[in-house]
Amino acid sequence: MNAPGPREIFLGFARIGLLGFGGVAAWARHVIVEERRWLTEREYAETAGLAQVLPGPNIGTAAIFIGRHFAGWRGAVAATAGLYVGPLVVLLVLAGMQDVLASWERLPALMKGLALAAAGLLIGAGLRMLKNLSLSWPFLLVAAAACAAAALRMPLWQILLVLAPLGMWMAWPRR
Amino acid sequence: MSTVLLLFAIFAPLSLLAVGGLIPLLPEIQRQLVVEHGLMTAREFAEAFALAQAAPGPNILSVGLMGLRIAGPFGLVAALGGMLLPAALLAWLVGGWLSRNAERPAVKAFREGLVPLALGLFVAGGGLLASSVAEGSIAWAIVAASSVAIWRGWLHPLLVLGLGAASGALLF
Repeated sequence: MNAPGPREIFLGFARIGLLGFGGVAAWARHVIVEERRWLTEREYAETAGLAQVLPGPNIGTAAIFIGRHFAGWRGAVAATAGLYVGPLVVLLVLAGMQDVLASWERLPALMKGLALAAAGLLIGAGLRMLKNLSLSWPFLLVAAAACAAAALRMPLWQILLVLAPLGMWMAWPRR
Repeated sequence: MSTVLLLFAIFAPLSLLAVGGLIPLLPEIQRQLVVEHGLMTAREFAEAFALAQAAPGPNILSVGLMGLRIAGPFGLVAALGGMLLPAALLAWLVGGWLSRNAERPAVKAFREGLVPLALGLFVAGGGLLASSVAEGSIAWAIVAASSVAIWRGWLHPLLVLGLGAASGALLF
């Protein structure tokens, strides 16, 4: 694969932003790993993990890492612009049509179905990651603990504070 | 201080606290915009967030919508810029340091150690989204069918979203 230039990076992230109904995380993985093959499953999971521990929207942080990796500051700017500009325009148009939207009575049911499918996108993509990453069982336990803690609505910073050092310790090279 | 500058001053510090994105910060943003500075009503705040949730793209764009409601186009730029720029600069600096030090054992272990966290939080995100919306067996069946279709690679994600929206409109 050739390294994508700013133009391809812009278009890829615009796709992630504009298709990201009910959350962009599943689309980011789909476009970056499966569709464009910019990163392997493991590289993407590392990037997503770093984005979790830094402030800001995860996808925004990942956009800067990935854009920079392939095309320096132009890549970072292209990724960021691609991610936000299209969806912002859509959002402003929708805000202007709020009265029309409110009068469409099937819309809440449609949005509910969309959110349910978006949840399926995340769960299904998680299962694909699980298969492709082929983690050893201690790492699987950390993944399960992170999943359970988040599902029980433990604050993210507490999860990161405990499990990030644990994962790092487990990944430390030993002789 | 003009409202536009105030918006930037409210959001720029919050940007660096936004670990885990916008959602954990919503109560504090609401407190500042609605209670402390009285820039919008609680209802307008909730509407701006709900609209950004329904629209495609990162939900942090709702901050731009709040800025627009409060102070017009300049308010949009100030609020969204304040929310995004500090975190983006930090990501740029950290990304540079990480790539210069990519061969250090500590950096390698740090990256590798975060992989299971990314996986676990990804799946939990799906579960939490599902449980916040789904009630009844039809809803859970849509979640399950979508998950399996993606997991087995049977359908393109866009088709899965379209089928989910269509079945929602027909069945609920």
